[in-house]
Amino acid sequence: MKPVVTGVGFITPIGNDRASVELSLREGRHGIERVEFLGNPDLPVKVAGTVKGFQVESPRWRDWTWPSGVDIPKDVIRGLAPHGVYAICAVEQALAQAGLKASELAGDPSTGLYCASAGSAMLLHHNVAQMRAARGARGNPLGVVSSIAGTLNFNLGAHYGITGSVCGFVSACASSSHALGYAIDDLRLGRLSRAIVIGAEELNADSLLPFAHMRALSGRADPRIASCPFDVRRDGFVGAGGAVALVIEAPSAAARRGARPLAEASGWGQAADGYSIAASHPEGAGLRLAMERALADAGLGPGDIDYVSAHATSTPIGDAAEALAIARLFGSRGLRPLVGATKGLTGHSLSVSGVMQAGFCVLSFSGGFMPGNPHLGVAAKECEGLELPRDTVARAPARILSNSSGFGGSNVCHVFAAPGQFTG
Amino acid sequence: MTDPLTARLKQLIVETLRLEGITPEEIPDDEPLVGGGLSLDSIDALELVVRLEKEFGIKIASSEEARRALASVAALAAYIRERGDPSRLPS
Repeated sequence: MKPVVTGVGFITPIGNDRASVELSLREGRHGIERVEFLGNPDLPVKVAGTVKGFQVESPRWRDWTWPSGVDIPKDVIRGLAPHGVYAICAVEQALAQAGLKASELAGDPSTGLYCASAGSAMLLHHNVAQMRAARGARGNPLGVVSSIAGTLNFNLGAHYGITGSVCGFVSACASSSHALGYAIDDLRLGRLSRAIVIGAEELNADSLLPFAHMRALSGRADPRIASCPFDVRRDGFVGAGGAVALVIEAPSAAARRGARPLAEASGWGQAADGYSIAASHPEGAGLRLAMERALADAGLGPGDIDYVSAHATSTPIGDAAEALAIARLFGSRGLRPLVGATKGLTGHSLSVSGVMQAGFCVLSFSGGFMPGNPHLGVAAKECEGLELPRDTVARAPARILSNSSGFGGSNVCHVFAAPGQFTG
Repeated sequence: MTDPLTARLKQLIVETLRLEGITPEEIPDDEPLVGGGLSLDSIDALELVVRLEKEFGIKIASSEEARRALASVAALAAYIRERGDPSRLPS
């Protein structure tokens, strides 16, 4: 049995609904803009992939605003982190597309929730500072559940009344791909018939600047080229916020409801580098094995893949490792699938990355296109043998391999198939 | 005539808790702040306490004390007059 995707919701730097995200992907419109953090114009972080239409910069929820149409009651919002607001907006879109009412999830033991976020460094800092100011005598009663990693599962699980399973994943930028993978497994094992998979991250000084101190971020100020995966000039990733939600279901469950499958989650695989806390294995050894395992799980070979949705974040080491891994897997067999890195447009929204790419794959199938690499000038030498279109290719892919890599050498890959091309 | 401290407190309550659909003048002097018509609970009360401490230089040490202080706007005004920094009281 292979689960199918029946709903997708987007709150991203390139759009807050499916139509605008698709337009941005088709036309190569980026969502990166100039930013200044902590009132310090001298910081080497000049741009970010910002989420538009929300005001969630303050640590006080009463200051927050979000697009109209989504009702978040007071007793819910005060347990949320800023990225939890993105998450609920994305889940609502995904449920609507899947034709599900929130009330249908509540108390249903066959529905599970699989979440990914890094928590909220901003709220954690704010709450701890308040507690220390009171010399430990007082603290925000919702401080823990709103700020630690797990805040999404705590809050969304309670808000939607999820009873099948509620869990969270913390493998950094591979987290939401892990969330999706284990959701797929629980469906395949017959434990559940439906899962909501969600990744969300906020974008603020506390979430992003620590990455500058790891020298992981681009120092460029031009939003048009700061994020340029696979380019010789790439100098680090551009941070981003957002949330993407997926509804996946057992095909029989989707069919019973008359829900239209948008894509098949054909298989997934993971492997680790065993190499460094933060840097990728120089030849992408773990990523290559993860890609092979995903293909094997899907019952496919490299020749069945039309498009690789690359993790490539525009870091010198990470992109090189991924390029080499893709080239070895496909190039060694004389294959040249198209490879696209959408982080050139979105920036890198950390744990959201995997489900964001999965959501883009769904749009690629329905819209008949494959996103290119619009900020690519001169490809790095490691990309030799890779087919890296600059512009979006107006052709429908049948099957996509989508990559994710996170700190600690986590690599998680998924294979998705278009309707009519299902492998299950 | 409204007492300036009472008026300031009502304004602070509306501002801090972003109350919608109610003006400061509409908050009664003697109604319980928590569990009353404003639909505030103990988590709202905590936010209010943090703000009041900053504004008036008071220290509301325990939740027992907070309950007493926030019994009503009138009780709060009396509490602040008794313990607050006189230079910070509105005139």
